Amino acid sequence: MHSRGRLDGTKILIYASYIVVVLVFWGPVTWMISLSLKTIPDILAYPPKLFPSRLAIENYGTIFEQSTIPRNMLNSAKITIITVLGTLLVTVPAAYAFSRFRFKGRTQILMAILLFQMISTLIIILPLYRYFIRLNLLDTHHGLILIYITVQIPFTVWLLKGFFDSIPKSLDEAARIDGASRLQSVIRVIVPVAMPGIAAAVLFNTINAWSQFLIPFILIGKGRLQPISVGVAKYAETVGEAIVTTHLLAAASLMAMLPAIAIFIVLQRFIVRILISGAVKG
Amino acid sequence: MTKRLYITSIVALAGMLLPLALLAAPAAEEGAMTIPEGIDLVTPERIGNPNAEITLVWSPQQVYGPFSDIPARTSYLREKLEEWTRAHPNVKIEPVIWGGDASAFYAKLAAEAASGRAPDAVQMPDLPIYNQWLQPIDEFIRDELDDFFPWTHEIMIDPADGKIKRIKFNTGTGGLWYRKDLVPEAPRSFDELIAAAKKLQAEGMESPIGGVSAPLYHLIFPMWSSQGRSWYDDNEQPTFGSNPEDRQAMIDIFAVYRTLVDEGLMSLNVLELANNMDWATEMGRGTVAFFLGNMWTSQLEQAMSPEEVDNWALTHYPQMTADAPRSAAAGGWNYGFFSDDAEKLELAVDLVMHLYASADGMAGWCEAGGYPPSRASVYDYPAFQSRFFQELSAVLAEAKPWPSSNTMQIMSGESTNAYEAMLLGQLTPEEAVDAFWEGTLDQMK
Amino acid sequence: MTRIGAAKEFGSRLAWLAPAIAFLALFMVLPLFDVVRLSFTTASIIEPEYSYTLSSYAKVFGDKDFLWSLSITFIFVAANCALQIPLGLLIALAVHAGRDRNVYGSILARTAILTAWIIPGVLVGILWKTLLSSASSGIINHFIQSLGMERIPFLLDPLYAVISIIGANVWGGAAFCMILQYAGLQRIPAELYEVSRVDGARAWQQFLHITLPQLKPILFINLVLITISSFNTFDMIATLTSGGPAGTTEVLTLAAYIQVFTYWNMGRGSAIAVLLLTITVVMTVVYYKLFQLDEDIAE
Repeated sequence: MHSRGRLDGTKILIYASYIVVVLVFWGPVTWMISLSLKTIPDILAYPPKLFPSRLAIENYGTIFEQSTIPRNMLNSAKITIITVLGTLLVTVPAAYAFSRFRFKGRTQILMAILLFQMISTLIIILPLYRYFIRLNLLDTHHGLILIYITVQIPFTVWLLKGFFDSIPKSLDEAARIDGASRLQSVIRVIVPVAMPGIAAAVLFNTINAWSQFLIPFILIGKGRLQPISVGVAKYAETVGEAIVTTHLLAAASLMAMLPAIAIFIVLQRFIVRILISGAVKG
Repeated sequence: MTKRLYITSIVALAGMLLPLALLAAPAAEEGAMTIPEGIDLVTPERIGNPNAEITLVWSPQQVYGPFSDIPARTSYLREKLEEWTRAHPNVKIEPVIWGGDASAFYAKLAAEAASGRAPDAVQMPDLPIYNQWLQPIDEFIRDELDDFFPWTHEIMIDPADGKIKRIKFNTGTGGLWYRKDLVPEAPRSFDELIAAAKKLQAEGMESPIGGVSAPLYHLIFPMWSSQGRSWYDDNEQPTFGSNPEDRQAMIDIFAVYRTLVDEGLMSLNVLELANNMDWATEMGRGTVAFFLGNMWTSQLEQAMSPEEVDNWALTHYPQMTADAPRSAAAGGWNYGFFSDDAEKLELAVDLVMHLYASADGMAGWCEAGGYPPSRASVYDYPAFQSRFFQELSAVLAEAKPWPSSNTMQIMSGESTNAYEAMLLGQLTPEEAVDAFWEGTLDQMK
Repeated sequence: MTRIGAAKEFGSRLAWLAPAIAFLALFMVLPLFDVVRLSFTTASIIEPEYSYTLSSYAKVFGDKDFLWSLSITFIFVAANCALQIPLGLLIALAVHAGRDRNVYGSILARTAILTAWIIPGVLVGILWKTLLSSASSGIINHFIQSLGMERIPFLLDPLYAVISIIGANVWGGAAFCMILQYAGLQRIPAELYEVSRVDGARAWQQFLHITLPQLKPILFINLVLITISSFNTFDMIATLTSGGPAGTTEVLTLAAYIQVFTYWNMGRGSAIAVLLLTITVVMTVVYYKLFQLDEDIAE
């Protein structure tokens, strides 16, 4: 067996690959951090330096006070939380039903739901926009959340069904023998056992909801209602005379990225475990 | 044990995000007519008296609004907004800043107007499609109409019913920025421009000429209009591909820019530096001595020190020959009004006039924002006394509006694609014009 | 069970599915039908009148730009599959092997690649647009020049623009492949390797004859998922190149968006969207048939 500390060719190769991975995947974000703390002269300076001549923290202050970015972040948080909860409420029963019940049309509906995963938001965004105008749902968070939940359903049902499938039916029986209704047995017994799957679903849904761009871009016009993805994109876009400068854009982008990254790094061990078990069952 | 881990991590996530979510809930307001003391009158949520009964929805474009990061503009707007809202304590304004993909915004605006949900006052382009939904504002602006340059009337008035529907509150034609400390005399023709640029090239400036990447309005129209050509024929079809003379003129125009690139005087940066702020920074760094673009000036002040800004001057667009007429095609932004409530309509128009479009308002805004005014009398104000502005005012008195039709989007896109392909060397000028023409026909149904 | 009992049972069972079905029906199926319907019209966002016709499809197919969009989309998808999966596999192997050998830093590497994955596509586009620009904030070009080579106009030159969108997408997506492969690697029983070592197999032989075959199902799922997500990529490309220069990176998603929201042509935009969906579905079905995994769904 290989003992710790003995350096062989393989180990060196592995170390080297780690260094490359860290550089390639963390390098860009690090550069953005550097850009976000620079002043205009620093940005224009050539050759570019990694460390700004002085830490221009006021850039973040500018973004905070003079843009909608902070509000966009709050919007994203609110929308994401409600979406995740809503998605669970809708998909846990459905996944359970697909896992436990046999009924006519089950296979077909299941296949259809899987195919729905291929429908990207771009394809349905135009009709949705027209419905929303008529239903007066434009520029509302609740309208947006309805769509967010919908696009999460196919993948989440598939994921959760996989987890439910791996829970032996005897567990259901055992709970119901005690006289519990099916619903109660699900809530009290099955769901806790399926926690890894539910955690995986929560994780994927959160990332997905946070990243949505096209839907809120089209369905919400008011800047202060938009989530962060649209907020930053709007900040970056030009209309021929936009006055965005690189350091402010970098600061805004980082404000958008860092919470997700921070949470990720802190909970990283759990998340990887969740992802792996999600991948295994899937 | 692992189950607890999962529950814990979910709860931790929720716990971190939940307080933020709660903060996102808006607070309630009640009604009264006096303005509370000590509050900020201009906020992204609401402008004016929070207790006001009437709400106006005002939709300026990002950099024309009070929350861009351009100090000169925002301080001007803030001051005017405070004035106006104090004078109208029964009105509060809901700012809905738009920005980003302009065509998507125009499409959405059209859909919303068709459903009666458009804002009360919106900054909008010339596109005629909105005329069917815009509210007439004759009674509020008829007296001042004559002060606006004659050509603006074509845009401001709906040809279908003769009513005034828009207020064009700034303008500009294509222009040439140049370093007046390095270039003693402003070039009047492209030959003169090339000669001056070559001189600077010999002195070490690699590619002295910069320009915008979307050619239609700022690189093509200035020359097209100076040659007295009209864009459309009587059937409202574009002529630059069907009429042999016009087609040749277009090829010659495209060829000019190809020449600039071939001689190394204009680098391919023009394709990447798509917005004026990036260009302003290049101008500040001294990598270019000329910039072919629009006339809107405030980016320079942001990118350079006042002394450096002083080195730059704006002149009319170079033409094929030194004695050709000045570019006479002008554009600019408009305000349109969709409110069907008479009181709100009047208030909305009054607001826009105060900020941007009365003589005082326009003078203040154009000075703060760095735009040429669209009203003749404003050129009497101190900020516009320079020789350039006085000349511009004379030109604008005789100018024509940029072509505007519902298909301009298409032509803008197709011309940009063809122009880029030509600069990249994939197409000759003639092929580029053909591609532009065919692409346009293709997309125009 | 009586007929009424069975119906009641069915009804109560339906209740479990009802919310999900309702959402899907209202906000996915209905719009889908509408898109298909619109593709057979000449509708435009600004013109309320339209007629039913095949001309939108005809125009789409006759449009040279569309044929280019189609090809560049396939190239994009193929390149993504060809790059993301091996890259994910390599890194998964490195992390897996590192854990085995107690190499410090495997967690660091894993975290690094995963953080790239959770960045929303829009921000990935903005990030790489900044990095690849010709301005002095474009650090990549700085590195290239310090190695003595010429600056590369990443976003100006058609070839490099295509490379850029592929690169940025691989950067943001490789983590997903890595996780899948990593999970797969962990499931391979260690005994298989033991036995083969006793037989004298070398590392690369083990890789070819044990690792790869064991990973086949996961690699396959990976391939399907990456294909679908590459076809549907929009956010990142829109912010990175906006389809430029001169429309050379205008993949099908962007083409559809531009038709609808820039040219206001709903008919043609919907036609492109329908074609995109059809291609994706057909490819997925082909994959499944090819690898005979359709039985698994019915379970």
